[in-house]
Amino acid sequence: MTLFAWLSSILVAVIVLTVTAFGLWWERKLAGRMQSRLGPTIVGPIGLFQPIADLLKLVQKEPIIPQRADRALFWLAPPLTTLFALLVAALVPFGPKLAPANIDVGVPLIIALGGLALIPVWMAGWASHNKYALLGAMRAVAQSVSYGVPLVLTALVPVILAGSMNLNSIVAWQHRHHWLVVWPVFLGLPAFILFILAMLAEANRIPFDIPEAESELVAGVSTEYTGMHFGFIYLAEYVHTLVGSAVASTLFLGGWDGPFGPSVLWMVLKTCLLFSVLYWLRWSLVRLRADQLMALAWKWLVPAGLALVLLAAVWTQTPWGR
Amino acid sequence: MGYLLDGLKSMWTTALNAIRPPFTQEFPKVLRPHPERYHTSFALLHDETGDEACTGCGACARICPSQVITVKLGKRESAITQKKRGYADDFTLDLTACLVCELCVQVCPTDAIVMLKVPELPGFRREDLVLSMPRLYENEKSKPLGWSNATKLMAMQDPKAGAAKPEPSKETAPAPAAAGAAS
Amino acid sequence: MSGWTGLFVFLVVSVVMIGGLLAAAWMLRVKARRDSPLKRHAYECGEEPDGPAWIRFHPRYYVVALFFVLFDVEAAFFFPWAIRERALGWAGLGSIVVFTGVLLVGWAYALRKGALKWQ
Ligand code: SF4
Ligand code: SF4
Repeated sequence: MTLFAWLSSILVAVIVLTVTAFGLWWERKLAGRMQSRLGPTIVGPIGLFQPIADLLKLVQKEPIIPQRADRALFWLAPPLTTLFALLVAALVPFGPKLAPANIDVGVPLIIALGGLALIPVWMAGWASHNKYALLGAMRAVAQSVSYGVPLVLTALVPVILAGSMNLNSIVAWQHRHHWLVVWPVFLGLPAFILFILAMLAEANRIPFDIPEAESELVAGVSTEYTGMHFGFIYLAEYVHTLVGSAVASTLFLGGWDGPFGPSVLWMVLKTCLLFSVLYWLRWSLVRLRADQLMALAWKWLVPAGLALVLLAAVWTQTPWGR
Repeated sequence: MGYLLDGLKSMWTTALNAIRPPFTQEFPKVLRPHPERYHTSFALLHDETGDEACTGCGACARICPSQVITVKLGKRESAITQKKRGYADDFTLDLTACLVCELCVQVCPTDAIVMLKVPELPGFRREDLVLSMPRLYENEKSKPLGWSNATKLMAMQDPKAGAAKPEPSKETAPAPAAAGAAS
Repeated sequence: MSGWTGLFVFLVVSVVMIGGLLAAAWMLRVKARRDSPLKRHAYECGEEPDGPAWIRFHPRYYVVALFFVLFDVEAAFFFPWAIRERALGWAGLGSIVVFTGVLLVGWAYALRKGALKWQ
């Protein structure tokens, strides 16, 4: 049994990293096409090996630690960002049996791990001893903290309906009833949209990417990083988005549940689809200002999330939702 | 609200873009058709007797707004016509700062300097973009020359010739890729 | 196998993978032949770094943190209620509404006071 645990863990970790690598390629290709460009074309057929070339390049770079940086924190932060982003993947069920960690407190744990990912970001920003990095980290923390609340609230909707915090049972509930975005649509759809928004903001993606707004902050926390350490920050962002889409499809789009065929396929399909939609958003929308961001989170998303939670509770008390 | 509507609009645009064929073409592999008067790099020509046409007068060096041309004048007997005349002992043109204004071409009294239809390929060092005299004479032989020379350009600007004639707008066929790659 | 073992195993696997990447980066790294102190300056668009970056920053971030603590603790209280929601029925719903209501009053007060004004 432990052998199975090792194997499935290695499998899921490798899958997540590979999918992320090719997600990188796919994003650049998609972004290129959306801007009437070609995207990567040189390395491998249709540029398919671009991520590998990128990795090889990053690995060879000279690591530079800024003069006055806090060396230990500076070195530790980027690998930790990737680690925390990756850890969430363990909790996502890719099939009725295929989840490295099938834990009963899955939903809060995922949110906690997502929140934990903030700490290395702040570490990186503080340790760089660079004003851009510090400002970026400050914004990142403020933003993730604000959007953490709507994230928890919207994640509560499936929890209330399924009566369980175990991701696998939530999917099983959707398998027995309906996918949450389908029915009850007035709960599932808004909760899904809010969840996506909050997730994007937590992962610091456009349109919520003021922490690394390259036109004002150079590159935010990654300003001072070179080589693989920069790569880790970059990787963490992509892993975060990918795993975030996996979580969103688990909670709202029925996870591994599909009408036919193997369940893993459905899960991967939904995740990749959602991933692409997020990149579509990314390459279409403009960045919000810091104050607009905060206002959006606290004035609109939090009350809306609370309303959804209470609505879900009322719905479960009615004869239709029992 | 406005943000939402604009966001949806831009998402529609990007979605349309994604299914349209891309606009970009990969430069060295595919060359776009250039307009007739497209001009980039330079060449120095030989005259009808087969001698170097440049007399080393330095008019081009003086008019160049970014002063990237240096000419060293030398006087000697022509090996072909046996007449004593001016030569450019040395001629350099630094493409890194050239504005492609074509003024040097326009002022040349002997139509010696002209521009090319194909660009120089990018280099790895700055010196790769400095055209020395041998390179300029090499360009004359190996690359397609541009439309203009001093005579044509001056004729165009002659007030006695009446209103400027509209340029022929027909597009020339793309230059062969081999010419672009052979620098 | 309990889920926590799985999580632990996954943690080990990810640490090994990330450590492997780090080790690879360390072994393959390029070292500059000549080092210059300028290279290690903090990046400020090519200017000399102006003073330390470890500065005091605006208290608005503190307000955001307060807001966060308020609502995150609230959300933490939601979870135990949420999984027993059906069993607790209207009584449970009523108490949670009161609980949320109290928080919302605080929220409205903070908004009226301009706690989220970002300047
Ligand atoms: S094109 Fe203009 S800038 Fe370039 S060399 Fe000739 S005169 Fe100088
Ligand atoms: S290229 Fe023409 S203008 Fe320039 S030095 Fe030679 S003859 Fe004179």
